[in-house]
Amino acid sequence: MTYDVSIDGKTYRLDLTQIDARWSCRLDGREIEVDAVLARPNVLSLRIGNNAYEVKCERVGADTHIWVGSRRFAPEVRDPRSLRSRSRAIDEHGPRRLTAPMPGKVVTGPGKCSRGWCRYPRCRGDEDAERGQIAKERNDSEDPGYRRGSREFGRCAGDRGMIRLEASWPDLYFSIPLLSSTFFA
Amino acid sequence: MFKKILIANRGEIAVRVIRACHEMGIAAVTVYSDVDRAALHVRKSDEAYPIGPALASESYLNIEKILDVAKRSGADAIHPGYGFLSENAKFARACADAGVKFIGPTAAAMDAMGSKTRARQAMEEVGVPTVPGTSRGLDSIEQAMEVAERIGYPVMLKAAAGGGGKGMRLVHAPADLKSALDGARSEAERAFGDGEVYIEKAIINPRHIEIQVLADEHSNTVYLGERECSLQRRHQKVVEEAPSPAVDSEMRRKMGEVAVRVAQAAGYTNAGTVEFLVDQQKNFYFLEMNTRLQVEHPVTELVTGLDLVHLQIRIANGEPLPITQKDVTIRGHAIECRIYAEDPDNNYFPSPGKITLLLLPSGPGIRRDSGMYEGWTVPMDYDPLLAKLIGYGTDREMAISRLNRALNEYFVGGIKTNISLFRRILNHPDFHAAKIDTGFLDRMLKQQKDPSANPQADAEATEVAVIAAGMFTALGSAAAGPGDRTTTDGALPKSAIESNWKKAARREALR
Repeated sequence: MTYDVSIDGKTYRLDLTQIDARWSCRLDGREIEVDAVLARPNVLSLRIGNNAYEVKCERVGADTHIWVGSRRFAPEVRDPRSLRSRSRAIDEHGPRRLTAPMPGKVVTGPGKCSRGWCRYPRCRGDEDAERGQIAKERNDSEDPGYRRGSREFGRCAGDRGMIRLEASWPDLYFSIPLLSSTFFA
Repeated sequence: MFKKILIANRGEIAVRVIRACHEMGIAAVTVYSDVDRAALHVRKSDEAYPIGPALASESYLNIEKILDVAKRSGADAIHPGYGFLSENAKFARACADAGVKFIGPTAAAMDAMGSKTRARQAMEEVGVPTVPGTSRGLDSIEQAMEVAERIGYPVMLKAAAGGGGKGMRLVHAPADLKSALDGARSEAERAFGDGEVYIEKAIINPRHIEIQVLADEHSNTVYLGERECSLQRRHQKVVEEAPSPAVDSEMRRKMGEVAVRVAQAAGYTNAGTVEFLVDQQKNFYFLEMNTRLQVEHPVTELVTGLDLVHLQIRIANGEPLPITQKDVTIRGHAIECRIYAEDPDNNYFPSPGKITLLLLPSGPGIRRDSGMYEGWTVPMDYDPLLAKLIGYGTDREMAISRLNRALNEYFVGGIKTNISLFRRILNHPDFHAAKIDTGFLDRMLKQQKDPSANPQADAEATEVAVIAAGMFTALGSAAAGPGDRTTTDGALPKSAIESNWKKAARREALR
């Protein structure tokens, strides 16, 4: 397992491998001898070399803190290989369902809301699409894949990007799971 | 001896009294409000009765309900703990009328001492030194102005029926007096049902030293030494110790004898505390008498070897004191920290919520009086005192080092507490040197926290935190506690161990 762990603005690359009860650990490329036992839920008995630590994991509301002795840390742990980790999106809620009144193709859009993609009065030109803005169907007669007319497809749920729904895929049904927060919801 | 005692209180003091009852072979009856059904004191007792909603006036302050439970349970006596009805003369009288023994002073003694102004009047009559001020409540702002001019600013406005810092205002200048008086009156009315406020000269950086007294119903009264209670935040005690590092044996004797005189003047029985302010010249002035068992009684118990709650019960049972003044000796040193559910990074705002992890200190010289447990949700409806942690040693330095060690072992996860404050206090050079007064804590809190003197230790701790954070993530749900997965509003925490995206993808893959 590989993690990027950020503490106090600094990010560390951590590689952990657990084989049975034993761990192997590399921190920023440096091999570290680690022995860890979960003493009880949220309490780790950790040995690094011959130094011993009691480390607590505390969840307060939406935050997770790690306590080493009486020192508290607020780490952010990311999997560097995940799409979410690469994007700037911060939506942690998971999939949300978008119900469309008709089947259509869901595509990603560029970072900014470009003219013609969205007819919502506040979402024009080079403005970033705002969460809550209504996404409307593109009315581009030059592209045979697009339906004519405007229709509301949902509201912009991300800080950037949007989806537009096209009528060319009849096998997509009304309920379309949202796969990324860069899509309009 | 009593067969059954009803404890008209909650939290750690209720558990304390339950333990004393069980040690003496007495059944313990408790009461609880709706939000306290899962409280520790309920399941530690022998019988428990619901007494209504969370609002104290409809539960723990409701005399009728408490006495109804006493009647239904067949309790012989009621222990009021501290706070709530413990200094309520009406309640003491109602107990007597109901044929239930109130474990504490008589209503008459409470009336004499419970009002701070009446207490001052009584003390003046028997020649006990008092802080310059009024012995009667202020009638008007004009009177307050006149007295303040006469005794000199700064002055302290205080609630006559008050305690615990409520209804108190320090006033430095005449321009602030009116608003302070209005504020003190309304706070006193809300807290005690009595808006009477009096005025005293504010002694600059005094020490707050109190004497524990014990009196039986056969006219025997003894003092059990002093407690140093100068470490206060907004007039609420935070750290107490016994004996006071500022008091020698001669001063102890003088203060103790004055305290006994105070108790006798009031016709006092059972446990009580006489509070003094001590100026920098070691002159002491009567402040008030608290007609109840105090929160900080454990430090006296540890240095005297006496169990005050046992003695309270025996006195209420009509027994004479088993000790004379000559038998009282002070040995060793004890220091107590009051652990509150407060957020030190948010001006000590109360921090209710679920305790998700609790690691408890123990070892030599450590005592814990606690009302909390892992998995309990601290309610927001009452004083957020969770527990008291006391360190005892042969001398002050040992008590400090043991308490420091215990604080490092103490962990309360899921809510914020003031434990970090005590580490700062106990490691402060002025605290070690006993250079403390009632302004110490405010001065210390205004100072910046010292930057870490050990960057190497910081780097090491950070490295450990990084590794541990990765391990907790890797271990996933196996590392979490059973009730740990949700926030108080039911939403999954931001750094949920198992990603919602992963779960959704797994579900999709299984279709």
